[in-house]
Formats: sequence, C-alpha cells, structure tokens
Amino acid sequence: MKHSQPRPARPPGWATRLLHWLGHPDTREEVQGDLLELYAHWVRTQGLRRANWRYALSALRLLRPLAKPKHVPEYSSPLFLHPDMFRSYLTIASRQLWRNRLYTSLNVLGLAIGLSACWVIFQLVSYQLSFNKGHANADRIYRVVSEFTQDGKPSGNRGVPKPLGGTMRTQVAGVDLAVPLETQGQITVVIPAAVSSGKPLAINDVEQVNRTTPDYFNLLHYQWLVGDPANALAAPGKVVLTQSRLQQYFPRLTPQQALGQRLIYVTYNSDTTRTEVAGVVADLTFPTDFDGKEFISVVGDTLYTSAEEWGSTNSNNQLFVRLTPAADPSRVAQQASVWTKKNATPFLKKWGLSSNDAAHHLLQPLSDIHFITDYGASISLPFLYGLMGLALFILLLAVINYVNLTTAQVPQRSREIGVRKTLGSSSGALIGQFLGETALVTLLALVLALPLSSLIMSAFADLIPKGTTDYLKIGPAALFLVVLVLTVSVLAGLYPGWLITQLQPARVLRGGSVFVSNPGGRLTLRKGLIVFQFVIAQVFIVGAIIIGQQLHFAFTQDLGFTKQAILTVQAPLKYAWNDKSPLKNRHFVLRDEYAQLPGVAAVSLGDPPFIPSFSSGQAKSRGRKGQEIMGDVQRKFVDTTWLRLYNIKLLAGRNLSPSDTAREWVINETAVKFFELGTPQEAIGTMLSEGNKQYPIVGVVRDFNTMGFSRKIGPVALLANKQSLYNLNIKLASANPADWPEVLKGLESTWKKAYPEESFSYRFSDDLVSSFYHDERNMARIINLATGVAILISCLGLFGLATLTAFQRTKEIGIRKVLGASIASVVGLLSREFVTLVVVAILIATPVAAWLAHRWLENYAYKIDLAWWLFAGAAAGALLIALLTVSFQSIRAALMNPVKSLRSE
Amino acid sequence: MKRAFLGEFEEIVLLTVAVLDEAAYGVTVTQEIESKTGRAVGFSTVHTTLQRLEEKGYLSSTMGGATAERGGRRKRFFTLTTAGRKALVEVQQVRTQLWDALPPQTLQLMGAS
Repeated sequence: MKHSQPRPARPPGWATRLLHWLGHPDTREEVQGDLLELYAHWVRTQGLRRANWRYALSALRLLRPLAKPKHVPEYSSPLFLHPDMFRSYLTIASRQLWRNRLYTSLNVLGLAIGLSACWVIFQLVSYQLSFNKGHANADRIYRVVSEFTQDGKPSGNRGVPKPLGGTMRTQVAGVDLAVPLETQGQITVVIPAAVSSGKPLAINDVEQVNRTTPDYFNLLHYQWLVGDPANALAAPGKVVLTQSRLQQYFPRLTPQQALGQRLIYVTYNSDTTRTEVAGVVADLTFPTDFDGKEFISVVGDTLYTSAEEWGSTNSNNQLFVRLTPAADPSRVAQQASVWTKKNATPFLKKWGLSSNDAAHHLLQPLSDIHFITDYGASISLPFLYGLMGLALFILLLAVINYVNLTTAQVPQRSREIGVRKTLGSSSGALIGQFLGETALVTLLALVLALPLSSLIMSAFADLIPKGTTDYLKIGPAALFLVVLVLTVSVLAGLYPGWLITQLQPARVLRGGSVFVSNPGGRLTLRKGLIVFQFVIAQVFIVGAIIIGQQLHFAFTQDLGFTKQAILTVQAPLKYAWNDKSPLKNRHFVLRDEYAQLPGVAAVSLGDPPFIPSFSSGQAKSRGRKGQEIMGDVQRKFVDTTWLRLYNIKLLAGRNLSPSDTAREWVINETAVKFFELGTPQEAIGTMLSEGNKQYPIVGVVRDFNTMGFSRKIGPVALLANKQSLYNLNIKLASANPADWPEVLKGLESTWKKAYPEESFSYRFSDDLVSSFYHDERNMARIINLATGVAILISCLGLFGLATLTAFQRTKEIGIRKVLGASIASVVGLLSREFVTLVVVAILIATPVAAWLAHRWLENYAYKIDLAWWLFAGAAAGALLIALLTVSFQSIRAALMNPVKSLRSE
Repeated sequence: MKRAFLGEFEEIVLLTVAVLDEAAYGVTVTQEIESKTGRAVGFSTVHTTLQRLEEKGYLSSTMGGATAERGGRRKRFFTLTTAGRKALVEVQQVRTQLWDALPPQTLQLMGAS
C-alpha cells in the first residue's frame, strides 16, 4: 500500500522573500541555507508554531539596514533606500527635469490645474458633507416634514402644522422630544436702552431669529455662558442670545450683566414681542443648518394649541423630534400623518378641500436634511458627486498627459537606465526612482496649485458658500493633500516606471533599438490615451455650446410680454400689509406721482409677469361633457393698465374693470384649453369656480411665460384686487439705457418723500428674467471653466507629443527634404497622425455628448433643437485647436535646414 | 601592541568555532551554544557575531557542503585564524591572572577552592 509522505514543513514565505529582497547580497546564500536548516531543527525540537516564529524573527533581524556589516570589502549593490542613492536620484531627477524644461513645465502646469481642481472641490465638498455632523445624538434626531399631493405629483414643504409638535410629544409612542422651531422672517429689533446712547435703538431686517421651546436646548447641545438651560425659555417673554448677538446688541456687557436686559421684536405687521434676556449661549462652531442666533420663547403662544392651525402648513414652522433608541421612524411618521389628517379634515372641508389634501408627514434624519432640495436645501448630494467626478476627470486628464509625455521621453533616457541596470539596479529600484521623480513633479505642481486654487476660489466667490474656507481643518486637509500627491505620483509614475524595466540594457548600450517588442505597440497605448483625453474635451465642448445655446434661447425668445425698459419697485410690505400703518395706501399715491415724472411712460400696479413666488389656487369648471375639470391656476393681481404696459395681447373679451375686490377673471389661452372652454370667444361669459366662489371670464389673453423655460405655461388668471397690489411696474419712455440714470434719480427722490425711512431698490424686468436662470448660468460658468481646462490640458499633452515626434524624426525629415519633399508635405506628414486621433475622439464623443445633452434638455419644456451643426461646430473647433497646437511644431520641424540635422553624425 | 578586545558573546562564539573545529558554520555554532550554555540564542545574533569576528580577522571562512535540507545552498565554514587563536589565549591569560590574584578568604567564600 502506498502511503503519502508527511509534507515537510515550509517556513513562512513572506519572511523568505523579504530576506531575499532585503538581506545583504554577500551573505545571502549561506544565511538562507542556515536558516532553512535551523528551521527544520526547530520544527523537530520545538514544534511548527515556535519554529515559524523563530524563523520569521531571525529573518527580520537579518534585513538591511538592521543588519549592516561595518565595512564592505568589495562592491556590492547598495540598498535602493540608501542615502547616497537618494542623493543620486535627486541629482539625476533635477538634471533631467531641468534639461527638459519644456516638458517639465507642461507636466507641472497640467498637474497643477488638475490638483487645484481637486483641492477646490475637496474644500467645497468636505464643508458641505460636514453639515449637521457635529450634534450629539444626531442619529436619533429627525425633522418632521409635510408632503402634499397636487395633480398626482408630490410636493414637499419643510414645515408642519403648528400643533403637531405638542401632539407628537404626548400621543405618539417613541417620541422622546418634539421641538418646534419657528424661523422669523426679517424682523426689527428694538433695544430700549442701548448701552452707547441710553436711547432706544432699532435694527431693521434682523435675520436668524427663531422661536422655540426650552426643549430646543435638550435636543441640541449648546455651551451656556449664563442662564439655566432648563428654565431660560420656560416662561413667555424670554429670549436666549448667542454670544455674537450679545456683542452686537450690548457691546460693553458681559453675559452676566446682559441677563434681564430688554429686547423688543417687531414684525412687519407690527406684532410686538417684549422680551428679556434669560441666557447667553456660545455660538455653534461647526457647520450646521441650525443657524439661529436668537431664541424667543414660544411658550404660551395659543396658535400652537389652536385647532384651526391644523389646516395650515408654513415652511417657517419646522418641527424636530428626537426618538427613543428603539423607535421606528417610519411608524412615527405614519402616526403623525394620522393625527394631522384627523385634525385637519374639518377645516379642509370648510375650505372646499378633501381630507386627502392634508399633509402626509415624513421623518428626515438630521444628517440628510442639508441635502434634500425638495424641502428647501440648497445643495444636493448628486450635485456634490458631480463636482467630485468633475475634479477626478480633470485630474485624470492631467495624469494621462504626464504618462504620455514621460513614456515618450523614455527612449531619450535609455542610456542612463541601461547603465543603471548593468550596475545591478533592480526593477523595483528603477520603478521607485521613476515614482520619486513623479512625486517631485507633483510636489512642484502642488506648489503652483495652491495659489491657483485661491484664484479659482475668488473668481467663483459668489458660488462658494460662506464659511467654506474658514471651516477647513488642517489635519484632514493635509492628509488629503498627502494622499492626493501620493495617488497622483503612483498613477502617473507607475506605467513609465514599468516601461523602463522592460528595457534591454545590452541593446540600449550597443545603440540598437530600445525595446524588444516593436515600438508601434507602445504608441497604440499613447494614442489611446490621447483619444480618451480628446473624447472628454469634446464632450465638454459640446456641453458648453449646448448650455450656452439654451441660455441664449431663454434670453432672446419671445416671452409673450415686453421686458425692455421696464422696472419693478416693491412697496414696503411692513406698511402695505399693515392695517395700522398710516402709510398703508401710500403706494397708490406713489403710482400717480411716478406717472407724472418725466421719462416715465406708464406705471402699473400688479405682479410682474415673471416672478419667482406666486400665489395659486384650485379652479373648477364644467367640461363639454359636463364632467368636472379641476386644476391649479396661477393668480396674478393686476390693475387695468397692466396689460397695456407689458404689451400682452387681448385675444377676446375685455380688460378687467377697476375693482377693489376680485369679481371677474381674465385668463390665458392655456387656461381656456385646460378647462375646455372652447375658443377664446366662446370662453367669454363662462364661469370658473374657486372654493365656493364663482368668477365670470371677461377676457382671454395670449399666453405669456411666467415661470421660465423649464416649465410649460400653465393656466393663469388675472384678477383685480386692490389689497394685493404692491408692485409698481414702471415703463421708461426711453429705450436708451444712457437716459435711465436721470429717471432713476427722480424715482428715488419721489420714493424718499413717500417713505423716508425705507431704501429705494428696483429690479429691471430683464434682470428678473435672468435671475430665473441663476442655476443655469452658474452651471454654464462651471462647465465653461471645465471645458477650458480640459482643452488646455489636452492641448498641453498634444503639444508635448508633437514636439517629441518632431524631434525624434529630425533625421527622417532631413532625408525627406534632401530627397525633395515639400514643406507642405512634411507638415502634413507630421500633423496627419494627430489629426486622425482627434477625429477618432470626435467620432466617439459625439454620440455620448448628444445623449447627455438630450438628457439635460429634458428638464426644459421649451428648448433648442439638437441641430447637427452644433456638433459639427464643436468638432470643427476641436480639430482647429488640435491642428493649431500641432502645426506650430510641425512647421518648425519642416522648416529646419536638412544640412544641420544630418551633419551631426 | 594593540590588545585584543572580545565581548563576552564574541568569546563564546570564537570558542565554539574552535571546539567544532572543521564543522563550524552558522547552524552548528548556534546549536552548540544553545546546548552548552542552555540559553536560547538568536541565529541572527550568531550570524552577525561571526561576521564581525571575520571582519576583525579572528575567523576566516570558506564556502562548501551544500545539502538538500538547505535547498542546495552552500554553507560558510569558519576556522580560527592565528590572530583568533592568539586572542583566545590572551583572554584566557587575563582570566587566569585575575583568578590567581583572588585572596584565599574570598575564594573560600565562593566555595570554589
């Protein structure tokens, strides 16, 4: 019978390998042998485990530089980490970089652009991602929000009905804390005894004022400088300030002295809250959406217990809850919805709505709320990921450049590498050397990138949220930079490094061909990389063109109303909406005064056609077949001169007649179609009902755009309601902007007479329109910059390669010229290769770009057509740029005197 | 004349090489020291000491004697040089002189007489 021999034990392989690599070469053989023999002995006497352990330990202690002989009798190859070798690498690298200054600067420039893109975007993204992460128990804190369904589409509101907080606290299981947070709009703060003068001091338009309950300070941890956290807000008429506000209001008081100081808050409609300071807390120092600076006690506010409040939801009334660790957020949200539906239904019925119109509640984790754009967040996670992708792409382009230029230079360096190899350098050491050189270049690029990124940051300062640069923490930022430099060095240096290890030293030193395999194979990879670069550049170019075209379209397309030379001035709401104010109706007088001014063609009171916020209601009609048609109608409150001022054409019926209350409607064509009222003429005299009221249609106007091109024009109703008119639309007589400052001066002085305490501010209609495309214009700026960068980097690479090719083919060109080639044919010869690459890139990029552009344009109801000439134009542009880049070098090479290039041998 | 200086461990290694005569190489030296002194000796320590002694000129080495057990690798055999022998003798003499100089009472106390 055969029996298998017990397999001899093997020592740990890693230790053997380490010893092989890092042991001293002079004694490598006997040391390895001795250790093997000893290992066998240890296995026999002490068992496998202990033998492995002793073997590994012995091997480790024999590695260099731990085990280094005192003096070396004859030459043996030094360790590649030896200080002398390091110095040699540095010398060689600096000589190499200096000799090829052109390529070095191209590389440094390309990498610097890539690195600064990464650095800027790292700062932006890390700041945004750090929001709300600094709060204790953040995983148990949620915001309760409301979701409504309109026309089958959900729409979000970050607020909840006021009484919901109290009900959730007492009625819903799993809710630990429920804290209402009411953000006050701009409010006036009166300091009855200002420290400087002793007289009352009023500060207008104060922001970041919240109303909340004492539990707010249980929910979020604040550092209290003075005051009792549990009771400071427990009574009505108390306020807690942050330190920064304390310094603003009472600059000379310590927190202790500030206790009991009085502050009076006055809203625009003169609601007055008298408070005294009951505590001072330190400002939160980390990025958070809880940006409140003053906290007024909400205790005793009857609206928070009023039954009628269940029916209304305002985005200023946020609610935060802390759940018990075991609670299930979705169950809590469901129960909250049940309570709201139950309590809101009676009021909804009264207002002609159904119980399905009640808010449906959702719970949003604290860590998410900074990114939920449907509920008021300004930035979304996909946008941040998009930015990161952008940075990566640009960096990738720069890395590809480096790889291209460096591999192209390898033949020039083959002598040095050949000598190194003959003298016993290992592949590892050679790769290490190349990586080191790359790291050096990357570091140079970083030095350039830091000022470059501050330049970008200041150019885009209006897009960068405040606090981004202040937030930057040294530790993580330094770590990021180190990792970035290392990653780039490895990515960019590894391939060139590997390539040189393939060199055959014998051939190189004899002066033969550099590589074993044919160099054509290498070129394919380089060509591939260039194609890749230009694909990306091309996609960017097409993107930039299409965004530009769409924006141009949006600005120049007929909106259905005149927007030139019209400006809008808003009457101060604190007077216009305040029944107690003597200036309540002053703006009607102002309208007449303005109409008298020279240079003013017409003045109308009413909502501008194009306005970001609007009011809407649900209207009902009987369709042809008697069925009920219900839908949203956007309301515009206007006076009788409004149509003429904006040049909106009346298709049928008549204009509104003057009236103090809304009694009749003028609707647009879309509304006629939507409510199936037949032709505009047939629609006159029909009725539309809203809630319980009926409105006769007296006129139909041509459609005009109200919401920008991303949305279809919807049904619009114009109605006269004197109480809702507070925007003055002023049409200037002259179309020449040079005449306008004079008129504006007149408008301002008249305004100052009407409202001495209010500043005069106006907006031109075309500015209002363009503010609608704020996001698009910002995106266009980012994409344009990215396009520029992508083109620049790709061209840097192309330029470098063209230079090299021209240099390497100097002799060939010389011979060609001697044999009678024309300059044009030589230029063609040198350019053809690169132009082919760009053409291939365009062929690949065009469908990709077309698909992306199509996806983007889907966001718009009114959009440009994707015409073929857009792509052809982009392609021609890319070709032209590539040709210009290459031709500089080709022409220089072609003009060279063949005598010079051929004489040198 | 420069006096030989030998560390305690160097002396032991040098002596062991002398004891082992023809068969002294890394493994045998390590094992011999372990069995004679009873203390666990790291191979790396022995290896570096052997190298150092060779550098100082007390040992000379030749390669040879590959076996299958050691993966076909040769051994480095060590033999004492004249200088090595002289050094050992010198150390021995110093010790003897010192022992001889010990007062008899102390010797008795140590229980060594």
